[in-house]
Amino acid sequence: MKEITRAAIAIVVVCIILFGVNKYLNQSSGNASSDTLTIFNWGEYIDPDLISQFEEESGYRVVYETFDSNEAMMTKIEQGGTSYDIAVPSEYAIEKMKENDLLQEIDHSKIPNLSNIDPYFLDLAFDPKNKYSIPYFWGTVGVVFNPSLLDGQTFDSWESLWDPSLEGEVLLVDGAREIIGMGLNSLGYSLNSTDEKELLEATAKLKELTPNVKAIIGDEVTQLMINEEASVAITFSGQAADMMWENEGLDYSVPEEGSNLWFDNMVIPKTAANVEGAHEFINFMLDAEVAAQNADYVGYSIPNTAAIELMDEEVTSDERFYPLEEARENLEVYKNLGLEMLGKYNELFLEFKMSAN
Amino acid sequence: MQTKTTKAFYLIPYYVWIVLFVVAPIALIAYYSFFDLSGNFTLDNYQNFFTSVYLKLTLSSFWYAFLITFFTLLIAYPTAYLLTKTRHKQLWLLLIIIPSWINLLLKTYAFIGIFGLYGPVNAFLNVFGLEETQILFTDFSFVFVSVYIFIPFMILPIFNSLDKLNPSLMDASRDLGASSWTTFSKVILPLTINGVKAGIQAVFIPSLSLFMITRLIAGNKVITLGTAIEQQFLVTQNWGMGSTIAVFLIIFMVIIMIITGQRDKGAYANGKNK
Amino acid sequence: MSDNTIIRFENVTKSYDAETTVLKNINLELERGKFYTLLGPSGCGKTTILRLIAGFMQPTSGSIYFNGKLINNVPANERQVNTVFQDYALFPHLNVFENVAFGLRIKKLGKKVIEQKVIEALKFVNLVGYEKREIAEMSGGQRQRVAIARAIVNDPEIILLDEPLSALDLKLRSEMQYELRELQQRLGKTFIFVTHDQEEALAMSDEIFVLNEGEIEQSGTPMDIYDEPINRYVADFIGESNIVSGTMVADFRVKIGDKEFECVDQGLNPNEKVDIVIRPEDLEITAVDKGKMKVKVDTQLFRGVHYELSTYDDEGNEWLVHSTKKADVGASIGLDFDPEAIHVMRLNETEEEFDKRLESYGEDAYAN
Repeated sequence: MKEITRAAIAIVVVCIILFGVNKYLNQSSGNASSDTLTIFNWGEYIDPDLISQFEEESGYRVVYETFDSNEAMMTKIEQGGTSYDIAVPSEYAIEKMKENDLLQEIDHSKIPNLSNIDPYFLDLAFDPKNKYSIPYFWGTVGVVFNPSLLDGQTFDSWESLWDPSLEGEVLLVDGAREIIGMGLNSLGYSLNSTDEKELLEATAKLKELTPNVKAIIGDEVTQLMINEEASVAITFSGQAADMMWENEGLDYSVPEEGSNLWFDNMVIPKTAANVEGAHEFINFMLDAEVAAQNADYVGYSIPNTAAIELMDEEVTSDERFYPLEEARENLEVYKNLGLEMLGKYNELFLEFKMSAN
Repeated sequence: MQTKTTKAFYLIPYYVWIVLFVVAPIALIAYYSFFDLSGNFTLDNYQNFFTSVYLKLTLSSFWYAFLITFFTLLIAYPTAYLLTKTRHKQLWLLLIIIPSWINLLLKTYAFIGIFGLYGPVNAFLNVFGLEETQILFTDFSFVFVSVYIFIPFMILPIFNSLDKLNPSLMDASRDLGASSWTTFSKVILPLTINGVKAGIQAVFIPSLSLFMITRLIAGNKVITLGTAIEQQFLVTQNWGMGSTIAVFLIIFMVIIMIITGQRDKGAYANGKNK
Repeated sequence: MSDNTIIRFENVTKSYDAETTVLKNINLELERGKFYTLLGPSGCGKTTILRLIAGFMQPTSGSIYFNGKLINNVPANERQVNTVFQDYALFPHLNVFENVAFGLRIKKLGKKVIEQKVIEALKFVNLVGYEKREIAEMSGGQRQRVAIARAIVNDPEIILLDEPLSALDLKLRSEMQYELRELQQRLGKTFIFVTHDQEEALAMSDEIFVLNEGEIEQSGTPMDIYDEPINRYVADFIGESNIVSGTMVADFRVKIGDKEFECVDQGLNPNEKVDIVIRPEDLEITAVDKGKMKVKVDTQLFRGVHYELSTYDDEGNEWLVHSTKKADVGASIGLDFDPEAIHVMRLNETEEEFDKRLESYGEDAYAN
């Protein structure tokens, strides 16, 4: 009994110490100095040559780190172990970071190249007047498919995924918002729905899809589609472009019921150590030539009108990746639904996954 | 008196280690499990765990962990036994252990190719006129790859206990009229049961919380407690719920360790007392 | 082959590969109810013979008969033979009772019968009251007894004992020698005992097989082997001996160095080179002029019952003497011995030839 009491006291003491240390760590900012620029970006989301070019032009040393989900990125920025100067969150994450007071205002006067950006992508709901973020890439969620493995199905409608002939053929992206959103869209609901009934209905509908589901995976989807291991996959437009680059037999479609339109914007976290450099970098990335080169490399769609003019017409006129404004009407941008709702989405998604076997 | 203080002094690093890396994390997990998303104290997480989703999840985790452990044992025991009989057993053992030095993810990725529709396994089946079958993203592939990854961890303790077994005990058993099977069940197995238990611990417990293989090989059609914890922390950012699942996982682990705990009976002659 | 034969080896050879042959063409016959000892240094093949009888290995060639039936391919668990192992091989996870009951349980005997038999076996080895003990709690001598009880409880026809006393200390060892011999006589079973200790062999056996490099050098009663070793190897292995080279001058006359002595051997070729054995206890210390041989005392050790003297003759041969008399180190003494003390061994004589020659003496003796 004595031992247990002692152990309990030890645990309490350690907890207190750890919380103290935690507080201290949160206050102190990282070790970056003014001649380095720390960038936090998605994997494979920049042409590495451009980083060298920026280093040469600006004289800064660039530290480049990557993340694979908005949530992981936010967690890291919130913890503040490293002071990132640039991060590239998606729109709903920007909303959340604003809420949590993680972002600095951007001084537009230091970014003359902002004029290159298509006004359609500016002053959007998640960041009015682009006070905190500057557009980087944008895209959609849709269906990439291999007509040679199919009997002429097209994916103008989400409904096509439920076709019994696709048994064990459909790859899904491992994301709660994307898949639950798809379920909602297929029923004609908003993919930002917070209505309990709509959500349950969508989950029930998704459960009917399970016979067709081959796997629910991450980036591996690219390789699987290229290798024709599966005939249909739900994925992001940029990833689809990657696949189609490697396997010309693939096609991409955004179903008419609607889908997700997403933006990844550059932001400057509150904890940034090199704010000056961050502005320089944003301006650099908006340069027409730089943006065009980057888009060529990454394969996603850019919001940069000046750059689009420099790019291959065949690419920029492809409505699958640069849909016309009318076509964008059906598309919805993810709203930050709050942690509570996100938890709900995830629990439903988990339920769906468990029914997949 | 002096020896007592010096002894205590030497124990400091041990205690610091235990406190920092064992006690503190567990305490933190337990602590977090009592908070909801907005940081209020709550018991909801525990209540939530007993809803059908998480219970089903727990059940399926145990079921797959059981399958993995069962097949690993089925393969590892005879293999370990044969190993002790080979001439260059240390070399063979090394060959079996070497793959475990390679990163788990690397091996897992390799299986994506191997089990693919156009991978070597299907190519092999083609030779016999069989059509390509979907191997990847099935229960079979998941259990197969997990078993492959865990086999060294099962073989090692079993091999050690078999290798320590005095061969004249087997002779004695035969001599007293026991058949090979009786010798195995009455002598070899009871004397190597500690190795088997250690192997089961080393396989079953991590199997409960496998998570990368579930995505890469099972296509997220198999969900374990580990996947759920990862999701709660990284995606949902519901640290409270994640911690709660982790608390249960820890409880399960402790229970398994108690069940497979080692009662060291007659340790003397388990070894060759020559 | 008599009806009493229980084990017969016919040209049994055992080799592991082309180079290592551990048994070379062994022929032997063992009778029911006797205490046999296989004696030899390690690696001589004695344990191999035991393992062949037990069924732990099969001969490379040749046949092994048990009660007249070929048992080459009968597995160990189907043989009416039980073994007491060198390291006892007691099951560490079972207590004393369960160790002894192991064989009975396999025969699926009733609970009562098992209990009765186990207690009886434990009585035999004086271990009643130890049933519940763990093996780890038993001393070396006690483990030894458990191992014996475990073997005899199955009522086998043969009990094999693989150097069972080697792990015990000297005092316990001689106690156990008596006990084993007595146990064998009480049970009336065939015991086959393997040892490298010649004293043990001489003390316990009805018959000894002396082995060397996979071959039987000589077999016979302890007295036969002690008194009439067939060759230098056996003489050297059995007891302490003075072994010197000599020449057979004529029947009953043998020459050692340049001295001739009277002996009891005959029928050898004139001037045949031979080995000569004189046991140390057969040499008697006398005055220099009275002895048949003159030697110089080099060292002297007090051994309790006797003195052990190391002496040298003029030609440099060492003569070991066991005597109750004392001598002075450095002094010259005379050694006296009877003609019977001289044992002449022909070089490279086989056991068969040796037996024949001995028999011919017997005939002569009767003739005399």
